[in-house]
Amino acid sequence: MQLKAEHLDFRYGEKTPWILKDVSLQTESGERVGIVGPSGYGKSTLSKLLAGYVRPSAGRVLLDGEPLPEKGYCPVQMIYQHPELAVNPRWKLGKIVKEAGDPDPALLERMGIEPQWLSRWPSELSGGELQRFCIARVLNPRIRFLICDEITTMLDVITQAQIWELLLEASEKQKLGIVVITHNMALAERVCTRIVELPAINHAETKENRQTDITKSRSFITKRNVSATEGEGCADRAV
Amino acid sequence: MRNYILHRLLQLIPILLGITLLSFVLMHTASADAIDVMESNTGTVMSEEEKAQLRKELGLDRPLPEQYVSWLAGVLTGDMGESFVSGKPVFETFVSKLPATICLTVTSLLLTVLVSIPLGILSAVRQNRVTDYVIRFFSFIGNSLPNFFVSLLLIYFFSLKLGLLPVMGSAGGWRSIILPTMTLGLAMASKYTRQVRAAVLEELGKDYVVGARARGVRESRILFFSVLKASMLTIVTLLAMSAGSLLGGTAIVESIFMWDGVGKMAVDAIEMRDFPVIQAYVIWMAVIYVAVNLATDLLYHYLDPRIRLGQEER
Amino acid sequence: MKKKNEKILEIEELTVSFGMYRKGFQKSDLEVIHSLSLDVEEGEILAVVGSSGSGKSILAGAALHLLPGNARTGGQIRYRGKPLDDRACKRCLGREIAFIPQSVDYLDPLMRVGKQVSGVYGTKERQRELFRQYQLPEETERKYPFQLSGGMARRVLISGAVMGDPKLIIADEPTPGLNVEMAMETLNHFRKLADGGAAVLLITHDIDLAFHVADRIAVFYAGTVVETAPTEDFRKGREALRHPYSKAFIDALPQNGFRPLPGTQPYAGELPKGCLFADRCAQRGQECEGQIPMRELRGGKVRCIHAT
Repeated sequence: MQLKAEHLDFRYGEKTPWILKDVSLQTESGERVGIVGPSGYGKSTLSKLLAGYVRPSAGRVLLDGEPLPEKGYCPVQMIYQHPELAVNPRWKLGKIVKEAGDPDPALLERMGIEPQWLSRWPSELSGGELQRFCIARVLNPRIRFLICDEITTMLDVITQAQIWELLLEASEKQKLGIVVITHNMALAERVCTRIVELPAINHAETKENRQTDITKSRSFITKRNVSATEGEGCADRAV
Repeated sequence: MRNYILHRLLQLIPILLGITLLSFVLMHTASADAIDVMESNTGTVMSEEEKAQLRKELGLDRPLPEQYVSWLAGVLTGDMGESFVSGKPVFETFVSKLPATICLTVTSLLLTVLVSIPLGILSAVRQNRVTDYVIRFFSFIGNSLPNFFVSLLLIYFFSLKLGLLPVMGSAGGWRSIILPTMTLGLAMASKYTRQVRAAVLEELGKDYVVGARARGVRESRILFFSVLKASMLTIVTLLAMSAGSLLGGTAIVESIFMWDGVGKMAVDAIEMRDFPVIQAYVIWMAVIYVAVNLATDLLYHYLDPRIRLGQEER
Repeated sequence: MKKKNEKILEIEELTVSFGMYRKGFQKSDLEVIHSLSLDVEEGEILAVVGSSGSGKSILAGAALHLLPGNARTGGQIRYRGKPLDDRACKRCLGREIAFIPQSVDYLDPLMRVGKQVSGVYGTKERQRELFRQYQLPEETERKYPFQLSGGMARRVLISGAVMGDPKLIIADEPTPGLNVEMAMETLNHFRKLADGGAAVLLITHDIDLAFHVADRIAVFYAGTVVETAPTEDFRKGREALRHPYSKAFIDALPQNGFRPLPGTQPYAGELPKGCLFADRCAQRGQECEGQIPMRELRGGKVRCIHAT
């Protein structure tokens, strides 16, 4: 399968500055493409566009040539930086994880989710533990692409490594395509098969400056191709 | 901004049309009309011809849509008709009742604010200590006592036992407003003390309070310059709604104290099926609520920079 | 680094617990920080690293008496040799002691930024000077917090904290939301403050950044510090470190092995007896079930009886 973004433009309103202008990206099943760049360059907006959370002002997001489904299950799912904001604080985790159908018990075990966590409230778990639930929740058989927006930024490095081990395994087994959005180059090099960089633009804080930027066409430049099998690639990391 | 206010005022038109039509229809579905009520009240038996004659004079024999349209036409030309009961022009009657209600509204709101804000803040700052428990106990009592009961108690003590204040009416000048104000004000103050307490506690629990403490800002300064301002955003909305209902008159209190305001007038009009007066009252209520909501929004605009500046940036 | 510098902040055997209602109306205490000890000297940056949500922020709150009413603290906190009680804290906060909070939520949403930054003890001139230093446009002072971008908010918070001439700075996750250059610049600014004689307690989950500026690093696990060691040791790698958790930390870095240690941190309500790390440790034995004191080892401190 293929997830393709064609010439995406985005801004919140008629008078607000462009956040993204002419951004294109293409990724295949089983591929892990890293999008790196400092904060404020529209990485998070791009991830919301890819997952269909918001619509682009111009351009299209296509899944195998078709637009993302408007209702029903969307095979492109997204996880974000703050798992504590992505779960209902008034639901116990057992209910949260069942939100989109009963999860496979084997999956929960592989995710390192302890059975007694299911009877706890989200506030009783740490960010890393909650993030596992958020991942377990989206990893059902119908998922094809997963957009990960800084999902381990707030976690310690051990938990980060744990989470990525799980995701790499899913990526290998289910041929899941993953878009990894991160500012951490070392992490991207570790987990991705390909890394692209949102080009650095003159990002002064003032609106005037931002508006002059938009005239420049921005598109992805493939910075480097890290083959999955080459060097310290990650295919061998998946257990 | 001016467009916004204009837009809001234009919204009044459909609201007024809808609400007057609704009350018109509802009143006419009642089994008895003004003539029947008049008959039973005076105790004299009227012949059907006499009644038909009276109905014709008041225009009650015409089809309902026609009655509504002619009433509406009257209102649009500034004529709200005459009361079926007194025969006096409705508009004048209404205007003559307003000062009493407005006066009572202002005094009771003032009492509410003066009592509830300090007590609410005190209660929040002393959370779960004796002061807090005492305040909460009394506000609980104040909340649970019905208005009519409180007014009777007040009359009993202040007028009958102590003989300090007039029992009813507005003849006693400023002294006669004290008891109705206390009745309304104490009940509302009880409610608001709890609201203020809750709002202040919520704000006190927010991170910016910790931030301010960390910058070395004194507790009292945080309380009065930051927390109170933020809490007022919630309280102002509630107060505006209360002001709305008070301006609509408080039927029970006005009746008990024979306070000659619009609330009492409305109750009397409904009893007598006095359509023109009821319609005038309905218009008044609609205007009040639209105006009060508008005033709240404008106040918010002033109080909350997020709304004021957020709109400009969008 | 010279020895015998004045100890600015000393925390000994700190415990923090929160009174909570669990299972209906049963009230119980949830201990989130357990016999934690650390100290910061003048001219030094001590980084406390550990996962987010593991109670690191509570440590800052406890040290500065900024925790909510249902928190109970035990142990000793000393500032320049004297106990830092509530009153001493009130006197020093905003002047000698500065706290840099996590997010823009720590600014009053209804008050202009400039007014909050200059605060009680500062001046308009100093505020403008700081804004220039942190590359904040002059009109920032008239803005409200919600109008700031993440990076600007961060710089505003930092300006507010260094308004006075602080002797002790406690920064709680000061870098998320900043781009790499800005984050480095912020940390370099901490470095300058430290070189000027201040003590900096830097609470972060970002060990990469801690490597760059900290003199010592304290590793935080399950509500306590399991090891404090010179940053040098962390750079050298796992062999130079003392505690098995610190070693695992280093191994898990993407630029190192990216090897995850299995298991998770124990929940504050269900802590094991003795060593908190025991259930994930390869070296555990009977002896790990007793009290594990913090002990000196090779110029650092460790809370493990097997460490060599």
